[in-house]
Amino acid sequence: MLGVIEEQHPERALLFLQWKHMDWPLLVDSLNLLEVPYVPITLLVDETGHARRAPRLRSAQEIRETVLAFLSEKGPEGQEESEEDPHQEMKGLPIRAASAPARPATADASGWREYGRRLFLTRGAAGLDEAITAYERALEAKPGDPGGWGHFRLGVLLRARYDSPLRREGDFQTAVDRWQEALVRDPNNYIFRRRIQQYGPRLDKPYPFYDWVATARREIRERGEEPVELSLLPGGAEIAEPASAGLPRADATASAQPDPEGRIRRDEGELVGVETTVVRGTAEHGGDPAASPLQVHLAFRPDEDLKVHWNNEAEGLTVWLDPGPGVEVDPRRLTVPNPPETLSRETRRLDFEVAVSPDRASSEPGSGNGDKLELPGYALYYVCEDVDGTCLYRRQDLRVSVPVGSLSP
Amino acid sequence: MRSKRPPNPGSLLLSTLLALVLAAPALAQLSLPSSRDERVALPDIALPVAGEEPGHLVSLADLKGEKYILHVFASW
Repeated sequence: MLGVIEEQHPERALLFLQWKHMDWPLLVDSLNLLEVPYVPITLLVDETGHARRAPRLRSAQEIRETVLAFLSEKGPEGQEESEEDPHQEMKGLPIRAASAPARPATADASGWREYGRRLFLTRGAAGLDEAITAYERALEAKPGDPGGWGHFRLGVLLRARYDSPLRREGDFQTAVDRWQEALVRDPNNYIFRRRIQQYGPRLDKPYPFYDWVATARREIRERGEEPVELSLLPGGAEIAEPASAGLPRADATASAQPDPEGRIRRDEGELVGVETTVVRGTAEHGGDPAASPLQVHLAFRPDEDLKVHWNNEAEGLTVWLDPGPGVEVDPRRLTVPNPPETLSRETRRLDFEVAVSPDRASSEPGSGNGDKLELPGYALYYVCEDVDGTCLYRRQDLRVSVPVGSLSP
Repeated sequence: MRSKRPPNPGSLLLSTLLALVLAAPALAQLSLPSSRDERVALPDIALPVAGEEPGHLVSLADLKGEKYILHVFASW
């Protein structure tokens, strides 16, 4: 068995394999270089390197018989039946050591794409800045991008940089925008669609994407193993259950506003930076027409220069949203629980859904393509400057800008 | 209409592996075989190996000399 994973975060698939005792080697195709429009796909590869699709089978017995028949097929040189245990893992892989490519002085679109691809494969995170530039140049050279692969791969690289120490403001939002552009070009590509839905609203989700992760980590620990380390634990939209109806109408009395009079002193972003990313559903590209809400992702990062820390001896970070008439937000009050440490510096993430009524959308000035609606709200948090510095309770006012016009050109 | 969730990859033990390959439309792209009857040489597309340092790649074209069951999937 040899797996090829078509995911943004391949270590999640490694965790899955560990959980299920599946000791396969795994190749990583985050860029979808195979250009598969969906998964899963299973291929039977013979000794000569030729592949055929696995047949469509309807029973476990058919499956077992087919696989065993494939493994026992005689090779091209009249080899005897394989005596290998079909459950046994593959012993080795023909690994090539590839070196980083030289930067071309000039190139056409395919040349830049090739350079960007090779950079990402050979240098990993260290090559992201340059690989992103290369894919951007490829799109500049050939903006049409039939098939959407250039946009999709650029989105993958941007999201990878967002998850890395090299992150730049807006990387996640630009990644989402690129994936949307890819889906516009090929609405039948389920890899494109799923990448957006992974971070999108519940109405647009076919299933919870990573709801199994917490169970997997717990069960692996219970059997005395250490789970594969994940660079980013899936949460929020990535583990949310699909919804079958619109957002519940917000009940302002259900959760009280934490600072109704605005008396808490403001942090204008000096202590904690906030990054906002908005993910639209895929309804405009042939998806579920009811999937109109938006998923808003907020990331809160303590300032590095001031060595700001979260003060975990007080309440966790709280966000309150006050969207006004015609806009439903679920939930209106969000919290991020504190980790067990007294102080910590991690990025705190949360997300929520927004649905704008047609009346409210049409009442916004212009309300055409590219128009935005501002959602007021604020965050409250306890932070400390430096490790032994002053600890403060601060409020940061938020103005989340969400699109209300049509995405389609 | 919503798409069905792909089967849980945890069911990929040998006895149930190929149950995942159901009702897949033809592969329009690239050089992977699109049907059971089509037999093609795997393309020279090199991919990183999970858990290895960047630059350690395996080309699908190098998968020779042994039989492989190649499963392209996602864990979501």
